Amino acid sequence: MRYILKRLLTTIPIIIGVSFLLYVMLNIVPGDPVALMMGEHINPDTIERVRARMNLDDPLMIRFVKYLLDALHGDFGYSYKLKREVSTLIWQAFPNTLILAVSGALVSWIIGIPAGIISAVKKNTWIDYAVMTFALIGVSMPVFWAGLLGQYFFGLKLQWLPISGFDGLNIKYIIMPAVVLGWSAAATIARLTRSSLLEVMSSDYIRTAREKGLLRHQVVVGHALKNAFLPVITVMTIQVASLLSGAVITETIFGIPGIGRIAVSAIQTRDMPLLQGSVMFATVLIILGNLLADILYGFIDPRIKYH
Amino acid sequence: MSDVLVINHLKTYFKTKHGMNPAVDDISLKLQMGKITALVGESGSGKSMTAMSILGLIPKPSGVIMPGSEILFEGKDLTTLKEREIAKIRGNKIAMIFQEPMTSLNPVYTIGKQLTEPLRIHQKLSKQEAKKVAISYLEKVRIPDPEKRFNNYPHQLSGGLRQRVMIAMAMICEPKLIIADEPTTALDVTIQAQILSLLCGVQKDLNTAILFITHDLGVVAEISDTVCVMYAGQIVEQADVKTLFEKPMHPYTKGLLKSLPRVDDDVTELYSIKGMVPNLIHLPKGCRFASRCPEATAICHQEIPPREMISGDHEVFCWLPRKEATNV
Repeated sequence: MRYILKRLLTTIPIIIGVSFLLYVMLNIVPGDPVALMMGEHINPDTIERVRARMNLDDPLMIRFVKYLLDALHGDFGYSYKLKREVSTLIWQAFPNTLILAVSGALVSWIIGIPAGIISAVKKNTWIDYAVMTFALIGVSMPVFWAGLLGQYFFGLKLQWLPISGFDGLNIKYIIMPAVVLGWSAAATIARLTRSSLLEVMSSDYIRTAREKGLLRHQVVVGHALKNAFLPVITVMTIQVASLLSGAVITETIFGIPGIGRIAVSAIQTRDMPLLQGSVMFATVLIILGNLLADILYGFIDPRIKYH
Repeated sequence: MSDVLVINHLKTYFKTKHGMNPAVDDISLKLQMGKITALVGESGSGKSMTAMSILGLIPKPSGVIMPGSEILFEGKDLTTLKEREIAKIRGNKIAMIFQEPMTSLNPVYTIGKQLTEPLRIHQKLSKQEAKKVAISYLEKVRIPDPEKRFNNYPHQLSGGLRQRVMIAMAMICEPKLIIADEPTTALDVTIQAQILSLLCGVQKDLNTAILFITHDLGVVAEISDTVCVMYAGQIVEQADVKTLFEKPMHPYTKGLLKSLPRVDDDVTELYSIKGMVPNLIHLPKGCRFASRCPEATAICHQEIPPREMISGDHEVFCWLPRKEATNV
């Protein structure tokens, strides 16, 4: 417990640091937000008035501290384009991203972990080569290309699945984006599981287990997997965190109204508060994902707790 | 005296890019009940591969036990057994202790779980029964506070304690044979002595045979009954410990003994055997030691030496005895 608390406390300065960098970067981007918000034909006096009301004339540091304090109360500002609270917009989009992320993650685990184990156990056989070739394709193929291929074959040609759109938990709309999203993640997991398991299998304690009279598959399941999963878990939690913070490309291709879509439209319309809010949200999720990985590590590897 | 394990003409070869590597090349030896047999030799001489061949744990597919090899144990030839059958012998009737106590235990499981595993798989004991037996063995290897240690993880134990756990694990099914592969090499000297005396005690209690693999002749002199000296995959000399230390016949054995530091001798530099072990893939025609042998003659480079019985159980793989006989 003390370990978890300590790790939780260390995330606070990281979050403040990252949000500061983010705030500065978004504020040095050229272009006056008020002019953008109001349109082209506007009275300079009005611009001045609005700037003052929005505290945009204050120094950067002061604005940042105000922003941070407001954020602590759940107030991430007001979207000038969509004319709504940033926090409301994010909370509305999040369930959609959550559904997509969870289903994508499930696909990646269900495919990636067994594939990695099989190819490690059957090292240097045709099964291993087949799995690793698939994994290589998965890692190297860009998500937008896989998405377009899926839409063409399963949506247009075979007409098994809708081409795009989103309808809550309706599985028909989820399958294709989840597989597209999960496949490349699965490929990473499979490759990592394979190499990690192979490394563990050549260690001394595995030889000890074999010498005790355990059969090869008993050794893999009973002695090797728990050790081999350590690096895989790190990658898996970070993957989930990044999926949760919005699969920008997948959401755009399949027209899913999630966090990624918000971020993209915020960039396109120069909607700074919205962009800042969604990127902040992603940052916090990634940091929490890392924290979760560390905590899980402690559960699996007894050595960690004592350091 | 009954033989626990008999090895006849064991050949374990490894396929490499450059050809076959005869890591173990035609080894024959007998291990007797209640006796400690030492297998001595430098790194790469095939000691560990002999042990791995006995347990059927040669890395596959590169390692192959050649036809004609025989490892007889309880009337069965271990080289012909199926994986499932030999797994029933491993850890049960033949157990092994390894060189590296620091890495030979699985870091993510407790000592207790790892220690009870052989009992659970071979004797099908329940968790509770196995725990009782395990704790009694932790006491036997003199681990303080065994109840607490049972629930510890390996990183909470020192190297000496971990090696004690390894010994307890090897003993736990009361095997007929324990193979100890350099069990004290990674430990410091005081712990070494404790572990050795522990091992000897265990051997007396259970009346097991021990195959003790080492390159430390001091240890050999202290604990073993019989000694086999290995060089480049072959046994070059085999005798009881007293004979071997008093009347070594093979020039390699003589060299090894000469290179031991002695307390009663005032030398500034230790003797060393000149040259290198030959490449096993491109072996010389005659004796494998000839190129480094101070007593080698023409025939040693040309023809493989005979196995000569000197007396009782003293066997040497060398031309010397025959040359001496013709000279006299």
